[in-house]
Amino acid sequence: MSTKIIMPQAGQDITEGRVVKWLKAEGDTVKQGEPICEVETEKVVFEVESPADGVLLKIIVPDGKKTEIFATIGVVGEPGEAIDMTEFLSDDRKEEKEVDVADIRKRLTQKETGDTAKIKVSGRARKLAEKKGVDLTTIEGTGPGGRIVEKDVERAAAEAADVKIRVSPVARKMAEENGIDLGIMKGSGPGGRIIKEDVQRAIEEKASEKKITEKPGAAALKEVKEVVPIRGVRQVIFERMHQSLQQSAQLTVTMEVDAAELVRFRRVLGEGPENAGIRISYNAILVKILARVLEEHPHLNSSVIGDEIWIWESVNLGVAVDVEDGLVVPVVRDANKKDLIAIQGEMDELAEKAKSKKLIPDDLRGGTFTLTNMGFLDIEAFTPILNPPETGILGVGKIVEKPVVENGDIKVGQRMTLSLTFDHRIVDGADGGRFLKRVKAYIEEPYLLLAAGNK
Amino acid sequence: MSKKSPPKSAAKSKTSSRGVTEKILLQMYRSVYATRQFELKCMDLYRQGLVRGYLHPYLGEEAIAAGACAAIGHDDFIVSTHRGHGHCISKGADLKLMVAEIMGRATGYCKGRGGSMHIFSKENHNLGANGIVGAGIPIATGAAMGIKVRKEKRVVLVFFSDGAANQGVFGESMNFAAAFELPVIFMLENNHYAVSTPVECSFGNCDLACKGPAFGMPGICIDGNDAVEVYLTTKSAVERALNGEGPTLIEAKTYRHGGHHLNDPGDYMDQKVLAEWKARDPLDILRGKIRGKKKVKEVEDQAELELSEAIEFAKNSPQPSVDEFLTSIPNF
Amino acid sequence: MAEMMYREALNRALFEEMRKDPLVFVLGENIGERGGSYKVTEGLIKEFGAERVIDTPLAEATFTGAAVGAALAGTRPVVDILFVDFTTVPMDAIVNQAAKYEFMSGGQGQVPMVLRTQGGAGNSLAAQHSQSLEALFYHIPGLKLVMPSSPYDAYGLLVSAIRDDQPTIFIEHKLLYMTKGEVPEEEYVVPLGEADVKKEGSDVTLLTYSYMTLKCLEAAELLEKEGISVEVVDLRTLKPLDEETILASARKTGRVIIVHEACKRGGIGGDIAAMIMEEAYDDLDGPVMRVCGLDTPIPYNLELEKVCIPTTEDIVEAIIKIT
Repeated sequence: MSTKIIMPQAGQDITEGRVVKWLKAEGDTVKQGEPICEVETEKVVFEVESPADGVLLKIIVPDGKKTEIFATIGVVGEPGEAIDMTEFLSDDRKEEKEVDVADIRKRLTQKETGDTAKIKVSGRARKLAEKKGVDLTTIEGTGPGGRIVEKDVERAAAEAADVKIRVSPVARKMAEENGIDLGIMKGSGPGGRIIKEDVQRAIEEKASEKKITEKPGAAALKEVKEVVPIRGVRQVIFERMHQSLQQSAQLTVTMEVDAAELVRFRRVLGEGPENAGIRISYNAILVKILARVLEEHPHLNSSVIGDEIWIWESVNLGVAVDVEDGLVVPVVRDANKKDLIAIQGEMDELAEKAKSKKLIPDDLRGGTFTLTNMGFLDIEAFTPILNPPETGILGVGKIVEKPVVENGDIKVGQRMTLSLTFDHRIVDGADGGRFLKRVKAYIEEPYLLLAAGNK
Repeated sequence: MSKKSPPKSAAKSKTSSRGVTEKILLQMYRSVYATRQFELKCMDLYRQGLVRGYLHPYLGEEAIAAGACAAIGHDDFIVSTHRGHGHCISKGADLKLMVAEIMGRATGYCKGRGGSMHIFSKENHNLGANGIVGAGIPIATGAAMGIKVRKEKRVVLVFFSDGAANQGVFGESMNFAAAFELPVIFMLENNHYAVSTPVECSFGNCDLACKGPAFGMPGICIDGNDAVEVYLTTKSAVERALNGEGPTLIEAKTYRHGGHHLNDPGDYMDQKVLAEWKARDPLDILRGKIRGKKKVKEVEDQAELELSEAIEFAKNSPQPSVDEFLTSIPNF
Repeated sequence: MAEMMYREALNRALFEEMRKDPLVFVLGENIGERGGSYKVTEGLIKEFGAERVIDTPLAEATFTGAAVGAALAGTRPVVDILFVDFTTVPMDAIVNQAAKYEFMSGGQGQVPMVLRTQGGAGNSLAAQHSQSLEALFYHIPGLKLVMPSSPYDAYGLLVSAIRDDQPTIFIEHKLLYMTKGEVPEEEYVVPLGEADVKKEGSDVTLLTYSYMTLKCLEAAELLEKEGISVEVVDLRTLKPLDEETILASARKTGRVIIVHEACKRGGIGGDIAAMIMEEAYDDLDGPVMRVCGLDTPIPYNLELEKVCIPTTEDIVEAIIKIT
């Protein structure tokens, strides 16, 4: 076994030493504790003792040469022992590791704390945040990839305004439940704090106001049965749909397609022995088709952000699901990279979560295009409304048996109507048409999905 | 020069154990021998980079701690110095925890936070080594005050050097302890150098023991290289303290076997005087007083075994956890 | 120009000032034959003898108080205290006497003394030999406070401090003694109260002093390659504080990070940050940040010690965060 002889530490601030003289030659027998060489550091000369019994196998740092402290200056071992010096010395003390700036950057981006420059935010949202003085670091983004979009800033601004109002927790809760705007109220509590009594009074005033405003004119014709506050999911839908129509120029085009092959395709998938027990829905197939077509026509997989069109790399398909109190659109992420079974599995899971109200915000965020299917309500064609900030939504109607003329014969066909709404500001009618035509091609010949590039 | 040379009178009692039992002699010998080996090993570990910072060896002064600690009980306190390994070992410290501390390991006496200069052991009633020269003297005085408040039968033995005797707190503490008749033994280890400054250059009166009577307590000058003399003198000081008669100043003359710390070559020391003192090695003096040479050998073997086990233990001990350290910092 | 070590530059300043002015003398522990723990006083005793190079008894309270007296009596003592940690022993002499005598005596009793000491961590010297205590002195009206980072500044500032008529606390750093730098061969001074822009930049200002200057320069160099232009201002003298240079740099870059080894709580950085907020708030592009030591005594273990003190990496991280 060989042992290193090291340049010893000789002081707190001393980093190197010089071998003055080896007292033994290579090959000499040495005893542990026996002086083996003299070293010098900062005017102090002292002897280094052999760390073990054996033979001085090798002198690495010769007489008169300097080296860093703790560096190996020689080796003691068995007589005739062969050692691989490179390996033997490989664990010698290394230089301090250098500062890796790229690594620090990466770590900081992951943290994203206290730094607005590193936050993903749309230009428009940033501008609004500046105007309204909203701290972007405190907002959670709901745009694609967690990007902060305008409405996030709006919500934060509203909340911030609320925070500035001095209000007791109980009063705040009552106000929220009854749709009372705390911003216009005067508090009667200490320091002008809004207290329970203030809100109570406001609720009563609001109720009497309603009666007053409803009664004249209208009162004679209709009676109020119930006043339902617009809240929760409804409020989100309310705002989004309104915002959708206000902020984009929506055009809907429709196209009737032959769904016979689609029906057959789905049936075969469900019947095959390999797929026993796996049910593939029309929606899953349509998601797969849309993902393919969006890869071909990326300009519909986009958003308008500020004065720019952002084309998304991810193809995240939202699928509208009807739930008890409204409509939610959970998102199948990277649908273009997933196979049908994966898509179906994910959709089942999302639908289950939607029904049991277990969707988390992330399930609903980051969509780049939406599919909405109203076939189960026997609807054939409709005009879907864009789910902002997306620029396309495809509505799918019921598959109906219809007489169709084929090569001069009347046959029974299985027909389905596609309704594509897109943002006409950035997508021309003809582009929309071409997009729909590709969707049609896949629906009519679903086996095209097997073509190269498919996953 | 004569001031520095070893006391000649000591030669007379060279082989006499003066009635001290063999048990005590062997106990003291164990302290001296273990301390000697401990210091030499620590210097090796330092050269290898396993020990860092400052290391102030107690080489040549071992008999003082060995004799004084043998004269007090387990429940009595000691207060140590930056050159404190000998005090610590003589008070019964676990060599494993000492080496681990000096190597900065998590298993050390102070979790690797203190190092050589700050070993503290509650279990052994060692109130700690100190990096500030003289700082231990008022601390010891206060500990004695604590004993009085608690109405306990204990004493405090405080080690400090000739250098510390020049700090204001030395005189202030001596007066304080004498005025309140506190149970303290002031053990002034006169190793003749405050770092590099010789006693003759920093004292107007080099008879340091005479400062005792000036403050109202006995001042006794003894040969610090003779463990038996240190033991007997300390014993009488302990009795005095326990009888409520107050403190005692003992000046134990000795000599460092090297520089101030292991990287100080000590060029400023008179080599002839050093050689004279080395010829009166406390280890040899004490060994000469023990009849049972076989037992001496047993003690030596046992100490070496303990020490090599301690070094193995420390080498295999983990470094302190950085995360744990960070979370332990209070946010004031 | 000659290249010399920080400690050699200090040594040269002492030699030259003692030759020039017979009223200058040094006193402290082990500064004679031994030349001081860091060799700053090496050789002085041979030329000037034991009357002007005084190896004192180990009694800081007394020899610092004595220096105040000697200064009042018309000399220029340079007191040497081995570690800044030990300056707490003679605090009365420094705080109640040296700092206040001139004021209390209506200007009659000047105390032209320099107290040289050294601080900082990095050598595993544990809790009582590794501190950065400059804030204690910074807080005391009547004291000047100097903490040089380079051999050039060390020489020039020590000369100024010795010639100055007020008491000056001159704190060196143990990791700087062996660092080298260019020092002109002719005599020169670095005036007290002047910061030095060690590196110009436009994106962010680092305000620092003593050993951390080296770390800041390292960080600046690393980020220069990344396109971030960092200005490094070495304060050099903490009292008087060069507010003008600090504010000019803050106004120029709009972003300021203060870097010091002493712990953050109650550190000098907080005071400088407040001064910048008061004077240049409207020119800032974000809050003034601090990169400082942790709020803990310094542990002995080397790895634990390292985490207590700002690293180049910490500084780089802070810069990236605010740029």
